[in-house]
Amino acid sequence: MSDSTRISRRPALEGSTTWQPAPGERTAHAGKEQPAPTYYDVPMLKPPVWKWEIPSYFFLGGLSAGAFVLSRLAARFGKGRYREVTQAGTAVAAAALAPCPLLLIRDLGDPKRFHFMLRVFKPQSPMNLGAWTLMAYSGAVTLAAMQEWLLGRRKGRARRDSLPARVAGDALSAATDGLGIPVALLLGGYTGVLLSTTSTPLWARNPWLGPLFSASALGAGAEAINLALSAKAPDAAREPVEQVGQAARLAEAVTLGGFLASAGSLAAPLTQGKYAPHLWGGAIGAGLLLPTLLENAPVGSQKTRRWVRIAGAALGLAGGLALRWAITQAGHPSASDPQAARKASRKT
Amino acid sequence: MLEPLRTAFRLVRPEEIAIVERDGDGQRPTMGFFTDTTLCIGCKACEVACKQWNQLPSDGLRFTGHSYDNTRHLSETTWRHVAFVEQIAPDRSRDRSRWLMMSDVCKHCQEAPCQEACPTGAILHNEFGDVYVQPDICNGCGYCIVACPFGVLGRSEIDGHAHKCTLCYDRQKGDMVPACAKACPTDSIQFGSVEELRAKARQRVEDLHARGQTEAYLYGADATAEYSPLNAFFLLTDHPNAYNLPEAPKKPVKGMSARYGFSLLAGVALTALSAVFFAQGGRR
Repeated sequence: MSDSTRISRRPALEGSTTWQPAPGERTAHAGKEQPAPTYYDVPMLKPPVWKWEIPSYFFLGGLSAGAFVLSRLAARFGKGRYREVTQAGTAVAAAALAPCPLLLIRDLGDPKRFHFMLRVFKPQSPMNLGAWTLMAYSGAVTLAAMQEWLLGRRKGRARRDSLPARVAGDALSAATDGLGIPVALLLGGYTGVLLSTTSTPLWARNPWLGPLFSASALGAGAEAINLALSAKAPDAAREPVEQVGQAARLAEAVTLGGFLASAGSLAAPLTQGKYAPHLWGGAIGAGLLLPTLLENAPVGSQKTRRWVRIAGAALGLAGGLALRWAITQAGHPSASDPQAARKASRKT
Repeated sequence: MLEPLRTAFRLVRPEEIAIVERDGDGQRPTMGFFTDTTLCIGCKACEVACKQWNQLPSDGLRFTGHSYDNTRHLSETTWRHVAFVEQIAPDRSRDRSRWLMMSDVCKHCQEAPCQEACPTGAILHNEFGDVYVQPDICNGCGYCIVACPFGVLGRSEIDGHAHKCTLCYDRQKGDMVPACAKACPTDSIQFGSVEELRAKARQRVEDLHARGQTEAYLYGADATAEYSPLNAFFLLTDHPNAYNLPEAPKKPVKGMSARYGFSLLAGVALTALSAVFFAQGGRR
């Protein structure tokens, strides 16, 4: 320990009884010289207690929300041309949603008290708002699935629907979209806001986490629908879904860049170290670069093109999971690093 | 017949999760700790008294080897922790070496990030103005743990719930002084109404300055630019970081609405774009 960093002898504080940094003190902590010694490297903050369930939920919940939004948009704006997208999207949304509550309950310290999340409505807490959003979203997915079931039953019949049946159908569809799409968008993004509303240096108050998770949710939804459709649907049905995937990847790249730039050196646990492969290889390589390359690959035969497309969508999904995994798990080393905690809590 | 159902599904009213009614007239003062680190001799009587009164489980026998501090930090089972900051000059001269000892505790923030984060309403400010985790409500979600800017809370492996200092809620209810303050042999830990403690603390800083200890200052007695006052505040003589405290604690919820806004903006923009893609029917 060098003498200059030992004790910062401060001039007398003129009548002030609250702490003010002495001139020159800031530079002793700014990292140009030796950073001030920590308290025996004991973490200043507590790392999250969340395990694999939480990043998995972040991914599946986002994927479900993204697929739901796209399935409803295809039904409302597709002029009847994208029935396959709506069907596949609804199925994907329901299938991805099903394990979500189980993952969340499993992660609790006292799982039998899971319903205490709903004993209050407290939008101030992103986790409470998220629990209510998940409830509302489950309702929306149920409505969408009901519609698909009704439409499937009607298929065989030749005659047109009666007026009351049509009015009821339109009302059901309006309710599903009007309630479902806003709630799904909230579900896709609140997880990022939840992480950013903490004291963990990597996440704390980073404005890009919400948009990043929103973009990644819609991207994962598009990839999942793409994958589900690759077996049989014609190319034309898939085209808008692929376009959405491209746009979402672009948005994801921009917001991820914003997140890393905004976090600065606090992003080190993510960009270097244990979770670097998840970020660079998984989220960016497999999730953003490879699908873009594969989409533009000059492949001739119809059959090869299909396999390339399947590979692209699967890689995109893996990248989405890697992104949530890396960002959530890197909160552990971030919170355990006392220098990062000091930097994040410095006077601005 | 419907009563159990109605109780089970009744939503708790917002005022029930904010501050508990202050004995009707609102006259009860907010109670807190003033921890004067210049008086601390590092005896750890507070740690022991806290463990005993609150029947907290052992943390195991573990020697850190770096100082007399084998507790290391606050946790779900350690609600008082005595830090030993050893500042030894390179030449080991006595004049320029010193030990700073500090009994750390939950800060009982007047606007507490853990309370704001808690999704079940388990964390509230009780009638003494202190932050309290209701053990019968907490479901162990772990959100308060990452919300706290001081790293105070932990989740118990035994019952799965979050725990921290209750400021001896039970003792206060019986008009008793919290166990740590009662046990402290040097009055380094003082308990009382926050208002009185603040006046006392300011006087103490002035006295110390007059006697040449000009580094003394109060940490958490007043609100900072963005953080509320702490009901458990400290008198320190070095940079807060030396004690493993944040220089300027930040409020996690600050800017949250804007972050929701950005998040939804990204979602809405991509949704609108997707709608166009579907309406156009692919590339033209």
